[in-house]
Amino acid sequence: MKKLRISFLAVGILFFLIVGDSIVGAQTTQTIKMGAILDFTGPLAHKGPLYKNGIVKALEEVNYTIAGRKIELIPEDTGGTANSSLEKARKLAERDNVHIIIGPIMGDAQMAIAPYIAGKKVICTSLNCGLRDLIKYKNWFIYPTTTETLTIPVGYFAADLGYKTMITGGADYAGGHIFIAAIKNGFEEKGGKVVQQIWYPVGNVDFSSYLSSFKKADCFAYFVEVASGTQRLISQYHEFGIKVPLLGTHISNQLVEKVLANIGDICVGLKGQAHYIPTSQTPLNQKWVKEMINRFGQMPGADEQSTYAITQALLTALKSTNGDDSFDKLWPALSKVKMESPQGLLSVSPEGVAITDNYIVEVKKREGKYYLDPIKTYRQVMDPTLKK
Amino acid sequence: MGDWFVINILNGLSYGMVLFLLASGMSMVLGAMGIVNLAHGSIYMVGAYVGWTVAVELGATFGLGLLAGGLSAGLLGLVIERGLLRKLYKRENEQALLTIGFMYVLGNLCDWIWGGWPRMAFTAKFLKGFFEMFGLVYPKARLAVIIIGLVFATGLWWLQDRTRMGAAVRAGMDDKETAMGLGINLDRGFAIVFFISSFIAGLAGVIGAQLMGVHNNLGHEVLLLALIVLIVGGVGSIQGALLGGILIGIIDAFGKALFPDLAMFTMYFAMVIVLLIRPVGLLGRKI
Repeated sequence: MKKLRISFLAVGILFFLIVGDSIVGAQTTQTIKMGAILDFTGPLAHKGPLYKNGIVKALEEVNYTIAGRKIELIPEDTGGTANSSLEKARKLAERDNVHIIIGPIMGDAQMAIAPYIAGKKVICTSLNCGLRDLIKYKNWFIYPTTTETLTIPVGYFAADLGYKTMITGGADYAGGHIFIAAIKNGFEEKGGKVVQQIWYPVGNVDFSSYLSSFKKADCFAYFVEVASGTQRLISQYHEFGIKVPLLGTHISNQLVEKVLANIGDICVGLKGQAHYIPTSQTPLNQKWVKEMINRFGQMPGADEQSTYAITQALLTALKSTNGDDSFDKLWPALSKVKMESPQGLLSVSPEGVAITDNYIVEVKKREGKYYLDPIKTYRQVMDPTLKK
Repeated sequence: MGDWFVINILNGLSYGMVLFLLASGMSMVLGAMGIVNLAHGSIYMVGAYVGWTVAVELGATFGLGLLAGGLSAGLLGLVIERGLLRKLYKRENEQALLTIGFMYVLGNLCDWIWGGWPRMAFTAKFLKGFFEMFGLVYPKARLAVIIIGLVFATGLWWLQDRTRMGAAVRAGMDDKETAMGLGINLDRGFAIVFFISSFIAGLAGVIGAQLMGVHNNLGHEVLLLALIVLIVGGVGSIQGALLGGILIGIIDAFGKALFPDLAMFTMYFAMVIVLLIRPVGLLGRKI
């Protein structure tokens, strides 16, 4: 009896080894598999569910179907490390046979998976910016723009306000250096001068010593890599009574409604770069915000908007290819996308870099609630190294 | 120049006091029980979260938040020690694995309960604002951290060197078998030590939250700092933890102010130098 059971088991295993792949293969020709590499654990754990919400909303709008083909979303957790991101990318590309991966968030993770995923002909997307270096792989949809371009408006704005000198403070890693260089370039292009550059370690806990070493300047432009660090910087800046105007970056990603409510009144008046404004009065944005609140029970922010717009762009491209998600059809179709999103007009360059609006906002308070008020719009910002 | 120097000394002292409070508990447990509690940073984080909940979300006083943070962390430490760690005395590999496991479990629990969003630094109402003296302006909360740290240092030193319990624990550190032979209940003593160590970690979490706020990666961040202070100050003595904390705090403050590009490394330089010159730490004892 035992021998019979073992024989049946062996036959069963043999059956699936031979036939199983083709059964799965048969299913994949019907279903478009969309992977997502997001942070559900680790230091950016609060962002993963928000990014996922944006993707889910876009897919629900089309009932998870495009051109007659079902779409399956396969989210994976990076755990906040580049190593883990690469493992998940391998799993999505080799086991799940995806042709699209949304994410990962961090630049180091993007660079870790880039060479591998290029070889697999999978379209990958950034989430809140992507390194210019990714363009050479010719399979990255970089949204909303390159890292080297995102924060240039802060430099322009500081000069437009009449500031002549600036101190910059940035997290001491590749991304931090690039963001600060963009601010510096923008400011100096308009005649300003950066008199001091401060670099703090990633995960820095205490900014007090940096703040006490400030030289004389008209403003201080900062980048901190995570919301908790930005909170600390703003809190300690206020604690030490520093009056030099503060100009921030990634405000719409880091200083969302919950965080602003937590920081309190000391953030009122803070100005900086944001690529999405939740309180924008465009009919499309108002409708989208209302639907997101009904669906997920909370005010959406830049994170949800990013993945919603990215997924919408991918769906638009898939519609134009009649559901063909193979790289050779989908990639050229993606670069022809031009659509309205809650954030504004979105188009894509031939290199796969999104062209979107960028904003300078000010934190304000009305009826006990904090919000971002746009004070300057930079229309259709394009990476300056790309051809128009 | 004078102002700059004084401010950075104060910065170093305030940060150093948080490091001392964090490391003192770990030092006690390692010295008395030979246990490297790698979940210590996560216990600190739990204390910080509970303190925030009581003092900010529920609107109670900062003092109550401090007490709640300490008690919750103390009880958590007691559960970990009584439930699991006491079965692993003298099994360092298993202790390390168990406490690392708790690090992740507690981290994910905090994520689940409080969510991923960071909480702002908070303090007592009367500690908001600056203190002005001789033209120097300095946050009141940071001065309070220095004073609280010194009060605790005194209290812990008194407990360690001037009480029966402290004597029993020190006897256990030196020679467990003889101490037990003399009728000292080391099992109960160790439970009390672990509770006190975790209680202080929780208090440190709430006190540190005045500078650092609270977020879900805090446990990992502070664990490394605690280990550096332990190595520099030495294991098994409150004085060592105090010296280590103050030294690292001041080196970090002046390192950032004078050599900001090297700020990532200054603490580690100090640690390497101490390890080379005196491997047991400046005031450490062999365990």
